[in-house]
Amino acid sequence: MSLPAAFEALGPLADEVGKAGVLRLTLAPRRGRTVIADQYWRIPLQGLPPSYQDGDDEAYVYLLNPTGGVVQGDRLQTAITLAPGARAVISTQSATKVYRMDEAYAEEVNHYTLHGDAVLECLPDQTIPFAGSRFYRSTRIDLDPDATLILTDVLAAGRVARGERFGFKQLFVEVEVGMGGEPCLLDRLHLSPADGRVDRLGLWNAHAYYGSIYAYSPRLDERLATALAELIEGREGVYGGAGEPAPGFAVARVLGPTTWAVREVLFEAWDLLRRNLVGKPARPLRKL
Amino acid sequence: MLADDALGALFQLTSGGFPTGAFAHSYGLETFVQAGLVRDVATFGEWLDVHLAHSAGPTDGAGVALVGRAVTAGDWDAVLRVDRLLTALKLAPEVRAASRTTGRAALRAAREVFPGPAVENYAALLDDRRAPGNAATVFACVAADLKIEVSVSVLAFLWSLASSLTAVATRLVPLGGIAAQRCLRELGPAVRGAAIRAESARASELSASAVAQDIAALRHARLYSRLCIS
Repeated sequence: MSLPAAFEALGPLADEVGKAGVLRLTLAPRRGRTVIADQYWRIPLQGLPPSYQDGDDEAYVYLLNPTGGVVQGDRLQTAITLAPGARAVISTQSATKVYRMDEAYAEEVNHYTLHGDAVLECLPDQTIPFAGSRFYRSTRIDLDPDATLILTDVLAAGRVARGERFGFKQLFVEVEVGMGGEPCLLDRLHLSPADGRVDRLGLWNAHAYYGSIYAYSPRLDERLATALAELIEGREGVYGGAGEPAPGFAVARVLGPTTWAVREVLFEAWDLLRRNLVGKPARPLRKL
Repeated sequence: MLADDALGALFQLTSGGFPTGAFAHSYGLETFVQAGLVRDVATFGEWLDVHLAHSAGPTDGAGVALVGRAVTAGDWDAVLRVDRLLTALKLAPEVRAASRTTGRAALRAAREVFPGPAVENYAALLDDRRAPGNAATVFACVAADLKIEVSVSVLAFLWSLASSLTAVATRLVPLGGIAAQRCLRELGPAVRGAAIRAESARASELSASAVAQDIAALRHARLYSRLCIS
């Protein structure tokens, strides 16, 4: 994995116990339910047994970081594979807080592979990069053409309630969705406030929260993409847009002044997509 | 200093008269104008500064540099990889389409006006549906055939874009012609800064961070009335 120069210059991260977390999961259908067919984890990452909050085959899997936050030198690698027929909702126990760091940086690399007609709904809590933090996150999803993906993400400009906005030193967040080894959709945000003001018109437009949705399904058609755009763009109090960059793909981005304004519209978008692509409505995620 | 012939070719390639259709694309600027967020020279200058630093520079600008070096090295696998990354990075459908249509138009003209091995090779890849045909990639191939150094071609590409967007803003806002040009002149350091960063960008550094501008590009498709295609 090749890093941007700004992160490479901060030095390689050590492979230390307690700092280099790994989580590998394979999810597969067994006797009418999606189960964890195989898992390996090393703290600070940890897997929990799945729950079945819709009362059907779909597993709800929570990814846990028991230390409660991401600190300097942390390397967190998560790899989740879904076998054909597997359906899972993946989320986190709480927001990802990235703490101030004097040296180095913190890294989170996620890789999700969907085989056959697998369904993945990945809805993590928001990420809050604290002032003085340096964070690199890469999420790569490899899809088979029959798979279904709904992925949401929310970034805060900082601990906004404490007056922190864009106080982080470096923030790199990417989502790459690919098929057949080719990238179809690549969303890369790279902000280094030291290089110039980022609290500007055209970047986040004075908003403090940024939410995004990436979806793919062979059943995602123009009608659904238009409905998604109308929902996202018609909402008052946030600034959002949506579109269909390639057949079967939809992208939505929303900027808002409060975390709940962004999360509310993302929840409704998840609901719209879920009803059409997964056959059931959205539900508030019950944390364990 | 460029050889006279290459310099002349560069002026021709980047002039508003070269038939790429770029004049019809605002990359979401029109949405900001209709929302009243860009309403005068100052707010347009701010929009363009952000567009260069956080959108065009680290995407297409960096693409021109990466493709240019790959073509010179004869590494056409790398050309295709970068070209596909440029497409993948364009999330707003209108922006993705704008790059393809202006790219194809530029290629069609380049094959007749500035023929060369890189241009021909790329045209064949496009015919074979192996290349997506992005405008930045085409520009880099033409520049490579003309033996224009990468640093100059990146700068020329970004100046051409800045100039085209200034003309679009002059029409849309509208702006006074001279005032708009003074604004563009004052953004010279911004264009150069974006070009310098783009020139040394790695493929892992291609990025598009102007979120609100991209939202405007997405919303553009549903504007009630519009003068621009994107």
